[in-house]
Amino acid sequence: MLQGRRCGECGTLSIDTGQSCPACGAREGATVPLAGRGRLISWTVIRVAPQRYAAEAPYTIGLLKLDEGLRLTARVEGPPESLSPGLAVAFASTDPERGPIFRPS
Amino acid sequence: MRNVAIIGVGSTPFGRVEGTGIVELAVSACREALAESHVHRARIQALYLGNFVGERLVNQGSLAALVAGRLGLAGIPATKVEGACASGGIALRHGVLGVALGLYDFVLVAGAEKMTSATTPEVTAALATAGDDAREMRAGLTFPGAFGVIAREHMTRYGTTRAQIGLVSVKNHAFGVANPKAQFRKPVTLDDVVNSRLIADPLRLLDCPPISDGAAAAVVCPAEMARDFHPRPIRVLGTGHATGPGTLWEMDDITTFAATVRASREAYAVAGLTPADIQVAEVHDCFTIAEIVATEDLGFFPKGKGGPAVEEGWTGLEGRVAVNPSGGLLSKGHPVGATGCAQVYEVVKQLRGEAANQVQNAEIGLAHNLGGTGVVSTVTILGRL
Repeated sequence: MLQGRRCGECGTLSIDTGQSCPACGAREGATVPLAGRGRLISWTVIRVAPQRYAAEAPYTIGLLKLDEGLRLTARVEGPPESLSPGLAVAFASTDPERGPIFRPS
Repeated sequence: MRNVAIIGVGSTPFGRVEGTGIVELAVSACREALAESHVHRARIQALYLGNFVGERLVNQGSLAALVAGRLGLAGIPATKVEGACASGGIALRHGVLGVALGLYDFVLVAGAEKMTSATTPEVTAALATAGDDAREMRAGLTFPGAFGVIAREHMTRYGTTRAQIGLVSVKNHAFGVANPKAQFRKPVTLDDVVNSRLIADPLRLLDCPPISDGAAAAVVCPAEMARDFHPRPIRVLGTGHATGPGTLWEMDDITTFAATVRASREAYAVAGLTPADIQVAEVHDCFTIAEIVATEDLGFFPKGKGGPAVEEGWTGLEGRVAVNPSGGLLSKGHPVGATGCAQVYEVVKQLRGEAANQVQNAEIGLAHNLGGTGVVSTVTILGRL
């Protein structure tokens, strides 16, 4: 399940679980469940990857806006030709190293 | 605060420099700047040196102290500055502040990087350390990738075309032909750009800067002393230094870098100038789209109009503001820690009337240096004294 963080001081919702608030720096916050649905804002296909992921290229990285209003940068699975601005995406899984992974819904 | 002037600049050629280590590169640029300034080394009171990936790519730390020692300056405070690809600009800012605040009269500022001895994956991984690993880069994002995401959003939102973005590369490579310090001295066509290998969609190889070795340096002193050392001293009219979000998802709008906007506002305010006063600018074109974003963030063109501005020739030598007449990072090269000082080197040459692609009667110029995807930026406005 995808989780977010609601800041205890300023109320900002972020994907930053376990860290201080990216808006105000406050440490207090509560973990909140996220529906895992959102829209693709923009994306790229990484063809020259950093060393640790060199064997995985090409792969897609998207900037997403979730229905709850927060944004995150994540891997997006599926053929890049099918992607377009505003495309509906859904949370698929979390990888311990790569973070959340989404796919077109 | 005292007025500050630049009385000497130096730069190695940019590119693949075989057989010369990072310390020697920095020393070479510093010697040239010191020689131009006619300041005896015994009068240099501090060194600020920008470097980003020297520890990682060439296993060399303590760079500022080592360079000071090799120049015969051992004993002075020597500070290495790291702010990703803005390291050189930040180093200059600190040198200028040291003189402006009266701490020192003569300060040497430099930037250096040695990158071509590493493999491309090693360099890509080293540069990616400018991003926020735990909160973004771990997904597998790279810097070409981040600017690819930005380019696509700029195209979607403002109708910026692939051709407009590519024309930045065409313009800057054309400028690089005449610059003896440039890494690439061959023109490219728009067809070459849009048919070059995809690196991070929609950005292709010729949208990206080369991997480079190089160093650049400057000597600064109080403006009132400057004419005793150089016949055409260049005054530092204003500087700005600011930070911004370290991830794409924290940016309210990924087509603008808050750090650039903030740093330029500070520099314009201190200088008492507006964007319309700038005749020549060396801006941080770490990718083609980055030049378009920079010309908007610096106030040369309204947001979304940076693409048409390139197409109309408004950023050419005879345009409203000549942008990157050195060839920019795309053609001159991008030894990351050196870039901020190299931009100042080029603007100083323009204002002295010594540039390869000279802007006629250039009196006021600007240098814009950016780190990461806008996590830090410096803006330096220079004018004839």
